[in-house]
Amino acid sequence: MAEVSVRGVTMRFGELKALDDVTLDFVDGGFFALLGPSGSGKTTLLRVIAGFLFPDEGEVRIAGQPVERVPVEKREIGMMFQNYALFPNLTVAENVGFGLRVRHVDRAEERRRVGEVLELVQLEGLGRRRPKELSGGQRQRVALARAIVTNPKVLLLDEPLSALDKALRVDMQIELKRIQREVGITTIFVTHDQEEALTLADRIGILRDGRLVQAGPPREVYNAPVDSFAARFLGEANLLPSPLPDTFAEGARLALPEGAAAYAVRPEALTLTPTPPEDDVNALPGRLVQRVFAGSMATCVVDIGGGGTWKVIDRDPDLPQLPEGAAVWLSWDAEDTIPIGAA
Amino acid sequence: MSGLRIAGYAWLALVLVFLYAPIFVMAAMSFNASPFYQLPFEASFRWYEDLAANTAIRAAATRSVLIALAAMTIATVLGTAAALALFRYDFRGKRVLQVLLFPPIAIPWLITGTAMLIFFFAIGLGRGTPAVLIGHVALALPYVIVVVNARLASFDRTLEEAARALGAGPWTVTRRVTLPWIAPGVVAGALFAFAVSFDQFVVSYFLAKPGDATLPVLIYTAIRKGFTPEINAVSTLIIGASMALMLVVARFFSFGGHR
Repeated sequence: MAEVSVRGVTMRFGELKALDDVTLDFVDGGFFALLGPSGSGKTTLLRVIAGFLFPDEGEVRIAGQPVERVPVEKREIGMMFQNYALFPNLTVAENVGFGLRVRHVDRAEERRRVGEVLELVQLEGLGRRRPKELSGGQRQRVALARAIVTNPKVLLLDEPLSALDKALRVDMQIELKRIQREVGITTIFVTHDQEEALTLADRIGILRDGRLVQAGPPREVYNAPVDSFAARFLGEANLLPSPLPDTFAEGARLALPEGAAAYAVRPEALTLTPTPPEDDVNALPGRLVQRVFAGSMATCVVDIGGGGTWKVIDRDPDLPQLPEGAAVWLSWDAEDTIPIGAA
Repeated sequence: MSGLRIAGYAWLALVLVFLYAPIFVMAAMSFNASPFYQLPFEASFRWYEDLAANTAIRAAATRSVLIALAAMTIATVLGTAAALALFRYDFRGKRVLQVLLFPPIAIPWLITGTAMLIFFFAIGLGRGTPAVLIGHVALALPYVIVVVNARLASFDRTLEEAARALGAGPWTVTRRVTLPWIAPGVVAGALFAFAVSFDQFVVSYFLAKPGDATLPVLIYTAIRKGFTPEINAVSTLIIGASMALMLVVARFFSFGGHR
């Protein structure tokens, strides 16, 4: 268990800069999500930390030791792969014990620790099975057990849950979080799924085109995104440009703070009404395009003349049924306006 | 049974007859007392007894087996290492090397044999068992590389990465993860190498010293001098041994698909 620190890491593949001057700290015992669309460099960063790739520039430290030229096998990491990469010719117990065998741990100790970790992932009694005799969820647990049995300094997960179906994925998220807390290991995982990042991580880092866009606790990134990409990638956001174009939503009542490059309003901060609001709030007129019920709330799409369409999450069950095409007003409190970047 | 089905079985029977009839006749004749293939058939182990007493054939057979084992071992080790290197690393000239590995399979052995003879004389090695062995290794090597390569094509590289992440160095990764996966390919490649060497007539004929003939060369010279049914006997033994070996291997490594 240890903190990981990445300083000014640049990684080139030919002409392409897969990572461009990335600096990021991973606190001891934290659960960190690297989030970004495909091609953003999140997997490359994970592989640089793991040691499969040596960066062209910059520094990687694990527990204070510079490791950027240390090969994978000497870094004392645990890694879980997207396809689990279980050794097909070995049993579950042999798979889990592989790292101990390589370290010449004696057999009795190996048996004890394999048993312990199989219990932790709730696979007691399956040690003699072969990987092909297991379900997807069980394989995933074996891969996790194998990655943590050697007490690595850091656990790296590459899209660990993407091969599972939705229901199983949610179970495994809870399970993964429990095991991570129990073991207390510094964990870095790569995902393109923002929900997964929000569920699991206590800190997230958003990457785009090889650059770190923003890092911090999920709340902080959600409430104060540094740019419109971060605003849209973590959660949904309706964007207002700055300055507003002349054609923008005639009749709008807006009081926006000065000095931002753009403004974002989260769909759940908006209130939808058939008449102009009377309070002193921001208000935009529009036309209801679509309304979709999802249990306790409705998702509405509203066309703002000249401003594109906005998404509204409406939690008011008493709201009268408005027909599609009706004239509506969107309103929100001044403090829900998120200023993005400096103008 | 439909007519089509019968025709199908007939065709299958024909193929099997085509493949096995000559071999069967030869095997039968090796147990026939008459040296001139006269019928009626009169069972006898006479030719096998003669064979046991024939020191020239026994020496040639021993030499053939030893050369084949040595060529197989060398070609399998070198070929597997080469296939692994081609699989794992990108280096300058890799494509050229990959392309150049295969023409030796297509070049007629007669040409290869001539070229080798000229080459070995040019470098002062001349004819003899070392030349035969080197020649056989060179002939067998591409087969091993092709077969191991084919097996590696289905190998999941992340298995090697997983092993490295668990602390295994390159040698341990190869021994514990990669080799177990490609083992069936390596065994198949080794069998090919053994067969290429053991069956080899043309190159052996060119490179062997007159006194040091391998079994195929000896059989050829024996037939030229005048045929004896001892040759049937030795051939039958070889066929029996190689078929038994193939069956054992096929049982262990389900070639040609999964059971």
